Amino acid sequence: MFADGISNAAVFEALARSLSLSLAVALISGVAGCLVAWLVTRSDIGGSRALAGLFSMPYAIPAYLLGMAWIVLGNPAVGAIKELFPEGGIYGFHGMVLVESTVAFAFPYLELKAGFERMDPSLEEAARMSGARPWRVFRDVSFPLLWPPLVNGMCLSFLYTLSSFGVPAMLGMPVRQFVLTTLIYSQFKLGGMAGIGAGFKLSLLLLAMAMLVLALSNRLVGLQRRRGGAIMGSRVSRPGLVRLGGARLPVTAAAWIAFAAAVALPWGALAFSALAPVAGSCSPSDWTLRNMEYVLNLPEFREALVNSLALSISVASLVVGAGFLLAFAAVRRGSRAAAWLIEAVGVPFSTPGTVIAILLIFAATWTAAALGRLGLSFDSPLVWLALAYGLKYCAVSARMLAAAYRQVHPSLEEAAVVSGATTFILLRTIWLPLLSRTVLAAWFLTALPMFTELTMSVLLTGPGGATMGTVLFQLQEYADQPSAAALAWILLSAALAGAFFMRGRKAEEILEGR
Amino acid sequence: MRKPTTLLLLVIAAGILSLPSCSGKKKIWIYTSIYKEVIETMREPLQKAMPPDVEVMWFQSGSENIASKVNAELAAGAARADLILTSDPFWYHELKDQGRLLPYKSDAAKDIPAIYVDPDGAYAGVRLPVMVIGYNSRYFTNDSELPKSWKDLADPRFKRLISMPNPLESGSSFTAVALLQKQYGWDYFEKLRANDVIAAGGNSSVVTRMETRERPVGILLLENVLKAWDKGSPVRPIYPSDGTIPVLSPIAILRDSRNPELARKAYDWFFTDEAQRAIVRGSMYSLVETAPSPDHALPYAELKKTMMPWSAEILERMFAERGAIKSKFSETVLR
Repeated sequence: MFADGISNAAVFEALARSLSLSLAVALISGVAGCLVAWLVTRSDIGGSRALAGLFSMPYAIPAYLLGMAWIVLGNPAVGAIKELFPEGGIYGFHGMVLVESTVAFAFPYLELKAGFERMDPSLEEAARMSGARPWRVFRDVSFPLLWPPLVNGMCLSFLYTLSSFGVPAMLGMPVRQFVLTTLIYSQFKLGGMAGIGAGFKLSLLLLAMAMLVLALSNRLVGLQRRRGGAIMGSRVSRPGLVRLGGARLPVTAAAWIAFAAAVALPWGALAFSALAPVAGSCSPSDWTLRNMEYVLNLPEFREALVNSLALSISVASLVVGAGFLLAFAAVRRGSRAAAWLIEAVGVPFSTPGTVIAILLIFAATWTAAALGRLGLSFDSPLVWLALAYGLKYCAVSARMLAAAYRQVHPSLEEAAVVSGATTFILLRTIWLPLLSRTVLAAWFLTALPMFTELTMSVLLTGPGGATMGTVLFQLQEYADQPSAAALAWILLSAALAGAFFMRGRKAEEILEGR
Repeated sequence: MRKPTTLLLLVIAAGILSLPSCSGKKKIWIYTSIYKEVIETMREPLQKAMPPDVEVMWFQSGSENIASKVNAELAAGAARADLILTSDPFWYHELKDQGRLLPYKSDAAKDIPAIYVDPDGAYAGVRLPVMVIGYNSRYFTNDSELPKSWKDLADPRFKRLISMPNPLESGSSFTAVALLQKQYGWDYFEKLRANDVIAAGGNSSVVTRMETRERPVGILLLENVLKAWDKGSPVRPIYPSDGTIPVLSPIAILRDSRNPELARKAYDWFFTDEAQRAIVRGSMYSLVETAPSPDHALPYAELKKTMMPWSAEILERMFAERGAIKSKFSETVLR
């Protein structure tokens, strides 16, 4: 019914696995994101500022690199910590849940962290002073107010996992566990012309699932909104921190260990395999910097660095800027068109990259033909890459910002309007400072995956269009695993360094260029 | 008031990005799955062989990525590629069936054995990758433990030792599956399944699995083994006694080519000594019998003796059964 070479039973099995995987990841990252966001913003956990920045880092690691690293760690034959896994090692459903959750955790975490920071802490303090225990405060005060960003964050985690490809391909396919995206991929890969059709048909199925989840989450958030529950942003009072008391030490240690397991361990694993002369050789006496040198001296490396930086910075800024205005129009001005647009950008976000790339190749061919009739030629792959990145990732910022606008009580805006403020002044003096943390988080969540995007890039690139993703693909396919690990390690280290630098600065300072 | 400045800069950056690259030169687009390193050695000589007002543009990716890209371009109206050089013979056959290829019976390809050339001139083999068995020489201490043939791999002593590329993703792997099931039937793949074979990713992931000893034995392209060997990897090839598997890798001109004359010129160049030497340096066999064999590889004359039979009819038959072979493989091995 769907495709040649694949039975309906296989399609339904993949569908069921896709849904259960996404659900598991959304639940785990929702709970973990909530917990960590609360710990770093509301408790006296040790090193909270450092942790707050560091916990957003797993997102900086493209999932396929994380998959690579975890295969080094949990390889059933030679993995460094294979004893911690069942017989099949990291391969299988548990491995996919683990790795996807590490990445998808960032959506609810960053949303809730921004939510907590935006929320007037005096509400919680009032509850505490009336004698409520921290759990009660969270349940009765914080949670009801932070519903929309939490549901939205979990929804993004769900959609992210549903459309993710790298991890299911690396950790699921070797043990014959297919999800929809990997099925679609194999259709495109070896289906000839019929395969394109079958791939699209399966994508529609995936899309239907995604739309269902989006509709459900919108309904939930809508119900919440009608019950009231906006919070005024207040940057005057600093939250009084909840004292963890005797639990402070173990909780702090647990948080740092969790961070180490999520980021430092894979980082170490990649460094380890980048130093090996051949994949799998593990004696330190053999260690070599040859792979690093090879990667740094690749002619495409510099081109890719420039392209990826330019693409991710400019496209992310445009997309977040547009999202800021769009969400304003939708939430504060009640524009139906804007609200509809925010819904609509959920479609490309939950469409597999391969499908978007194929559609853009169609568009590129038509454009080239039209320009050709005018006697022009147009070969820049960067335009199509920018378009692909923009389309694929614009949902994150639009949805995050819409949720943030909803969370803030409109009284400030009303006061400004009464005083005669224009829309520009309103955005500049009220909304941008109020939402600065969300804007920054959204920019981060948009720019990082663009910097290392692989699936769409390998199809859309061309001469002069090398990106980090295409160089990685090339190393993986045509060089060897240690060289690919070397580039992966370089990328990861750069991302970690960037996050370390950002950690010390307040979001407002960065946004206002101070 | 830094924000408007930043915004302006961003708009300018976006503008620069979207500037189309215009140049007056005629362009010849080559889409190929040949290694980047090999392309680097071909780039200059081919450019020199073309008229000065022509710019040769290369797009390099995996065979299947190129097929996806060209298929999408064709479905949208016209392919940008003038020439294609990948290693999925079935795709060429499909393109020919649809009338997408420009027939060209070139004199330059006259030394290529007839079995590797399309009788109607739609495409011709320009190099010959072969599928062999690979193994990690540090894992096996005794040569008698090694598999000698494809048939050996079905033996229970290789349980959990074997991996192969996924034939739903890789054209070379599909050729191997098609020829092996023709020789041994699906029973053979049932035994491989019982041995818990991993069929995932491409040829490079098989190398990694061998090197890490996750799966010390692999079914893969010889060129991947030779390249790894060259870099100091303990991976070595075995030429199975029941036949190495030829993976025809043709060159063809697309009918949509805007400069068919130039495309023919470039097509011819790939059969010159210069081009064929570059192919051999890239660890692939040349189809020109007088050409040397790649370093560390079995001489072509030897290889030919144990090669599985190949012909236009076999290609035709396997092409017709393509969907059936894929579904049968999915059912047998991937479930």
